[in-house]
Order: sequence, then structure tokens, then C-alpha cells
Amino acid sequence: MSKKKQKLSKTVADAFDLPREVIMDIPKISMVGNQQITIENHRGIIQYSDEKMRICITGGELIILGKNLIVDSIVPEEIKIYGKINNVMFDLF
Amino acid sequence: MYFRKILLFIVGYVVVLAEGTIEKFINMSINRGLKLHDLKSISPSKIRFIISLNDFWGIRHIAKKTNCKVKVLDKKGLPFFWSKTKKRKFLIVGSALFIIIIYALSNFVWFIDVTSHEELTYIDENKIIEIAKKSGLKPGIFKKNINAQQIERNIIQQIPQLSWVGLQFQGTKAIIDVVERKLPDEEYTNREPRHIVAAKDGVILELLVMMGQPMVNVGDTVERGEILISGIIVQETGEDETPEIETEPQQVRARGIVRAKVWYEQQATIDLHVTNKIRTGSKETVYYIELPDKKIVLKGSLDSTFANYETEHQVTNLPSIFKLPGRIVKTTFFEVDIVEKTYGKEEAIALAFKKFKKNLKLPENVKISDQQSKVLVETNDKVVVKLVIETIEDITKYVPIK
Repeated sequence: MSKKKQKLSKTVADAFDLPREVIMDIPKISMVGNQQITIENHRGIIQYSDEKMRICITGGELIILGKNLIVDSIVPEEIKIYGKINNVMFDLF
Repeated sequence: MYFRKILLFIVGYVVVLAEGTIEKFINMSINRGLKLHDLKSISPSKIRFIISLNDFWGIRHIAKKTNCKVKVLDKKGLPFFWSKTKKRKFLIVGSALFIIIIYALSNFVWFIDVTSHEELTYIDENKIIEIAKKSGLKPGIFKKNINAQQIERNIIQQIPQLSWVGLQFQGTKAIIDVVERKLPDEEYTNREPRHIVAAKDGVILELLVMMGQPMVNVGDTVERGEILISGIIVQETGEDETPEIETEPQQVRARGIVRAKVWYEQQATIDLHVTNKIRTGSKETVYYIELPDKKIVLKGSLDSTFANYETEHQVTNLPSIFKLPGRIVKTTFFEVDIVEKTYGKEEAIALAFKKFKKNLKLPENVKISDQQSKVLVETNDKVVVKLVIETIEDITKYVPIK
């Protein structure tokens, strides 16, 4: 997605008060303490282990570090991860 | 969470172990729309996850493409359970048969019971059951074939002492609820003529005739069996009436009260020196099984520690279904004190009277009007006396007229 297009979609989202993740196709991440993390709008898994998880998102990847990470469910729109989460990082291009 | 697990259980799920480039494997399955649950990485190239049975078939294809090895660890859920039971056909047949038999048997009557609000006095329960059986209500009959009203009617018709009969079912039990008709006292219903005769020898003190012809007067001495009030009334021919008209003797049910003096006599020998055993109150008990040639003690000791004692045995037979020869005996030893006593003459006679009265077993309402004693023989050890007790009692006895 080019920068111009991204800027346009952001303006549209702001103008019409629409949720950005829908318009701009970026992930929506919600956490419950450090025990649960839900990532909507992901693009798949890059690396998977019970201490480090790399999830592909639009424009880069999301890195989750923790202990005993378990993927509760994984469907095209959403990943739900349980475990002890220590670190959530964005690695964008 | 739980809802999803229950859903997975219903559709059936498989626990799978995948080995290889698992990231690729996961991404591909997501893109194909397969839902993976509870992913857990065991090592960087190994994961374990749960997948529903429907989605599992798609996984093989993906595994081939990504060069992953897929191993099924466990199969759970209803479809697998069902296929397992399918192999055990007799289990299904048996459980189905069980339910069918229970259902079928519950449609029959197996027990018949008779209940009544008050205790039945005139009729036997068995008679009711017998009539119910004759009218079709017997153990093993199909419940729907029973005509309850017909049976109720039959029972009422055949036993006039019943005023109401209700038939109801409680499961496999038929309950016949009955209410007895209250019948008047026999004294008022029985019209058979009868005499009143003397039950004992005596001298009549009082004579009250309510029905019948008095045959004796106050002051008469009567013997046992003598007619006191006759049930046959012969019309006395008065002076006005012509003696030619002979009336048929009328037979009635004699009623009346006859009180008489009655004497009882007894000769008694009384020992003046008596040893009495008096229980002290302490006791020992022993339980044992008595066999034809042996005694097996369960609890206690067969020999009492008391110097003087009385024993009481209480025998319980073993249930006869086992047909065992033994029986359980409970023996109680009561400790007694032996007391020697010497009575005086008067005391001894009073005691003899007491014993005599006890032996007579007079009804409670009978009063003793007099008692006399006469010493016949007297020695140091013994006294022989003649005892006479005089009572006033009702000596009426009813005898039907032959």
C-alpha cells in the first residue's frame, strides 16, 4: 500500500468516523492484563514457539515474547493467544 | 471457552501432532479456512493442536504440500464414541432391550394392595383381593385392559359390608381403597330367642328382667345351668279371660341382670418357713450360637460370676432361608439374694388369700363381699386352712333356645 493511499484512507476514516482497522487494514490488538492477547486482522504466522511468536501484519510483523504461549484459536481474521506475555513489539518496514 | 469445547465434543475432534515447517503449515490452514485450536509448541518444529473432525480431512492435503508429518494423538467426541459403540452391537441391543422391557413391564400390574382408612373389622383383605382377581385384576395384567369401574362395582356388590371402593394405580401397584360400612351392634340386630341361665352356683340377690319370663325369685339358691330368665313367655290366663283361648307361647330374646352371691372354696397348705429369691438388679448377659452339639459364645461368658442367680433365655432362630441348624441365644443372669423368712399364722393366711384371689381371676368389677378362713391342721412348719371367698357378681349366661 502506497503512502498516498494510506493517507487517503486515514482521512476517510477520520472524516466518516469509521474504525481505522477496517478502512486501513491494520491490526487491532487487545490485551487482558498480560495473560491474553487478541490480534484481529493478521496475515499469518511467521515464527511459532512457546516463548516467541512472530505474527505477520500489514506493513510488517508483530513480535510477542513471553512464557508458555498457547494459541487458543486461530482463524483467518483473528488469533487469540494465552500465556504469560512479557513483551509486544512492532517491527514495521 | 467451555461452549466451544462442548461444540467440539459434539462434532468430534482430533488431537494432532505436526512436525516440519509449522509456520507455513499454520498459515496455509488459516488461508483455507480451517480452524485450529489450543496450539501448543513442543519444540520449534513441532506443534500439537486440536482440530475438528470436519477440518481434519483438509489437513492432510496441506501437510503434503508443506512437507509436514502429521500424527493423530487422540480422537475424541461423539462421532468416535458412536463408531466405537457401533462395534459392540450387543451393548446397544442390550440397552435398548433394557429400556423397552422396563417400559413394557411398567404397563402391567404386579402388586395388589388393600388399604383402608380405618382397620377392617368385618371383612378380610384377602377376600377383597380374591374378588378383585375374579373380576380380572390379578398380578400380571395389562393396565389398560383393566376396567376400574367394573371391578369397583363388582367388589361392592359382592361384599355388602363395604360402602365405597376405589381402585387406583401407583406405578405397577394397584391399590384398592375401601371404606367399611358401619354396622349396628350385634345385640340389636340378632333377634334369635334365648334363655338366661346361671353361670355359677349362688344365691340371688338382685333380679332385673328387661325381656323374658323370670323363673326364680330373689333369695333363691340356683345351680349352675338353671334357667333364670326364660325366653319362652307363656301368657298367663287372667281371671277375666276365658281359659279356652290358648295362646301360642311367645319366644323372645331374654335380657336382664341377675346378681347373686357366689362362694369360692379352697383348701390350702402353707409353709411357714419360706426362702425367697429377690433380684438385686445387677445382671450379666451372654450371647451364643447354639448348635446341636456345641455352643459358640459371641459375647460374654457362659458362667456367671454371681454366687446366686436366676437365668433367662431368649432364643432367636436364624433366618430359615439359609436352613442353618443353629440358633442365637441370649442368656441373662440376674443376681439374687436368698432371703429366708418365717411367717406367722395370720400372715400366712393373708398370703394364701392373696394367692387364691389371683388364681380365681375374677373380673375387675366383681367385689369381694366377705372372706373367711378355718384352720384345719397346724404344725410348726405348716398350716392347712380352708379359705372361703364370697363375692357378688352377675351370673347371667346366654343360651339359645333349642
